[in-house]
Amino acid sequence: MLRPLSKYGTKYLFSAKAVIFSFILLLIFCLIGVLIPQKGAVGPQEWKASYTWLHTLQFTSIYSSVWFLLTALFLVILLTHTLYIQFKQLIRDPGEIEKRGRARLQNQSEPSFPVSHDQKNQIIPEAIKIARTYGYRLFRESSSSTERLLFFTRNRFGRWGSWIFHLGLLLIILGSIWGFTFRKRGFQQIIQNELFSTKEQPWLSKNLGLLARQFILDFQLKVTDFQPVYGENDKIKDLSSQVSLIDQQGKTHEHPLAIGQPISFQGITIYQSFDYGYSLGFTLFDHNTKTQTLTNFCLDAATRKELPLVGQSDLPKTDYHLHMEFHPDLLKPSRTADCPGVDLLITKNEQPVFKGTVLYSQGLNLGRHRLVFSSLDYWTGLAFVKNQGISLVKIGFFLTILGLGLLYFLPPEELYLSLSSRDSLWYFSLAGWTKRYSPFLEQRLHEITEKAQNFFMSPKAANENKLEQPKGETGLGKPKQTDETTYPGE
Amino acid sequence: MFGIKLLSFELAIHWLSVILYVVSFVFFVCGFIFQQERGFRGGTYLAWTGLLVHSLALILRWLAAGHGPYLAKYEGYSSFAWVVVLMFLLIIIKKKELTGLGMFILAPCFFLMAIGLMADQAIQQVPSTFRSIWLVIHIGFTKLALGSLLISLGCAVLYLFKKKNLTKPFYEKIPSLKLLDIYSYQFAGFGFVFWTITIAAGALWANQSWGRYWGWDPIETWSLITWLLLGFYFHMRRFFYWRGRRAAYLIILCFALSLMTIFFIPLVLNTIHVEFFL
Repeated sequence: MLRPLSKYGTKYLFSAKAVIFSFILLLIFCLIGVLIPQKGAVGPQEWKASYTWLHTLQFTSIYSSVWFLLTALFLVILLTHTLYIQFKQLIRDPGEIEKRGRARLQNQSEPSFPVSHDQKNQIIPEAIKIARTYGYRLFRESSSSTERLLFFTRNRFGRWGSWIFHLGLLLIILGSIWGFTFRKRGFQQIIQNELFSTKEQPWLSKNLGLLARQFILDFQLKVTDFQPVYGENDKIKDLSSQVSLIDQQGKTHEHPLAIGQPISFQGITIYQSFDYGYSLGFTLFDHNTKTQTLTNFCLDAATRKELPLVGQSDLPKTDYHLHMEFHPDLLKPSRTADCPGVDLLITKNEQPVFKGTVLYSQGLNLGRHRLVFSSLDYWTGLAFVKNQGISLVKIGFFLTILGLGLLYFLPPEELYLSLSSRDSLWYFSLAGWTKRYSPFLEQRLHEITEKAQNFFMSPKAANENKLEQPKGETGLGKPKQTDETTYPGE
Repeated sequence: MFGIKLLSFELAIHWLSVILYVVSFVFFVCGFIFQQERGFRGGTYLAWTGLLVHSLALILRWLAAGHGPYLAKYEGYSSFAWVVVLMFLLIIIKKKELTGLGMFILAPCFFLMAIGLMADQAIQQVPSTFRSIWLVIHIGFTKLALGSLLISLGCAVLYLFKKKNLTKPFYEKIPSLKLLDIYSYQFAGFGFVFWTITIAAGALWANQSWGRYWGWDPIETWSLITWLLLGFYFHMRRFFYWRGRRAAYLIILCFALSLMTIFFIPLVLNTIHVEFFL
């Protein structure tokens, strides 16, 4: 009982309907993704409050939901099966072309046109020449005393188009699944001239794949010579820096880094992000314990140079809260720290304890503490990425495009030419086959036959051999099809 | 000062090309209505003239801006129209039977150009992420994809008109239903290839710039939706013999979706394409 069931299941699992069903599923998921705010967007918390079922069904994180993953796995199975079936068909005996050609020539209602006995030896070379002008190449020839058959092909390699395309799709999906499972991505704000190590500093944010547990770098990093470049409209034009990478042996590797020009080192790719700003370092001296603590506050760059860099944070190990408005140059609007100062509002239990402007290297007293604006430097955001599966995806893209190019620009065609003897006369016939754009092939057959006919047909030759004039306005013997007869299923 | 004069001259040239496209459109419409070859010929010559003038305008813009014409509405819409008109004119050199599609191609082109020319003409800086060959490929093939789908749409619309009015002698000179259907299919195929290249190039560019090749950004997702619907169209043709009318309606839907992806989604949703392109 299981055997017929599994046969039945396999038949429908790998049917055209299953393919269409998978398309529809993917479309639905994508529409859910664009219509329902996804995790990380503004909406989900509100949606969660009023429509908890959306969250329960994972519609607010549809692209990492169990439905999407199952669909991806289903597609992998479907594509693998398609590739297997198509491959079997493609490597079949090339004698297929001859079989198909003979069948098509036999199904012609009448031959194209008759030729005289004298002309029969000339027509084949002329037909080959005409076929070649249309890009056809002679594939095989078959002769007997009463018949000569020629089989031409065009864009023969194009028959691999569908297979290559589907292989590319499979690789893209596999690469994506790999990335989803194993990727490691971390983001950190790196202060210029300070050493960064994941063993001492956790990531500001990280994104790990399903089976990835931790993301530790085997090297240390230091950013130097950070250069933000602004355009005429005061918008950021470029961000670049020099990066020193110190490996486990203590050897330093210097690399330039800029937007769109990442660095690859020990399997990690480092990207320059658009995030940057100034890092303000405040040293807190405790008069009682005689200790000092340095805290860095990374402020995002302002959108315009007239505006200060704004931020606020608690001062660690104290009850103080700092509101900061940093001016790179107190004397004029500027992005360069020529005369840096910060407008500080310090509160304790929401009560203001200090409000004023503190210049760089200046300090202020806060009870038993002294707070000094002690360091100033750029910070920049760097993204570190590993194991995205990008290599598989790149190969997949290439194959997908190659496959589609073959499918739609170089569809395979076959041309069959027959010179056969019947009732002591010779008849020239033409037929063809293509998987795509058959009306264009019909037009080409028509043109090739007309050219051959114009070359050989003459009323004198027809009279001498008592040939009948072929029927139909084109002289091809086959009636022209009209629009109404063309569409099955309409 | 010279720059301002150059930009004013370039704007005038742009409007001249719009006028030429409009007149060419009128010729195509007259050629279609009165079934006169002269109308199509006149429309073609005017379209070529308009294209030459348009090319001059884009070259001037390129010289003034220092980068290709693809940033902001002004440049983006104009270069879209240029690519589509060029594509159509090159195709009808070989496929003369498609000349009648001229009115379907030129109308959206001059309309798009006019909208672009009324937008802000300030020259935008090219951000550093945009200096990549993948960006050039991505933008170029988006335009080619839209052009192909527009021609496919034209064939589909003509098919539907002719199918509905098969007995009317007016439609006899239009290519046969079979040809219209197959051309619609062929150009949809080309559009599908170009759309795939667009998505791939965009993903590779995103990976080069931000370290992620796909982030389910609204534009990315909508372009995938368009791609999936086109794939659905081809599979329905292949396995369920959706030809003729059903195929025509599906292509109209695919085109509408592609338009929405490129022009409408950036206006209503927050994506990277908004700030720099449209």
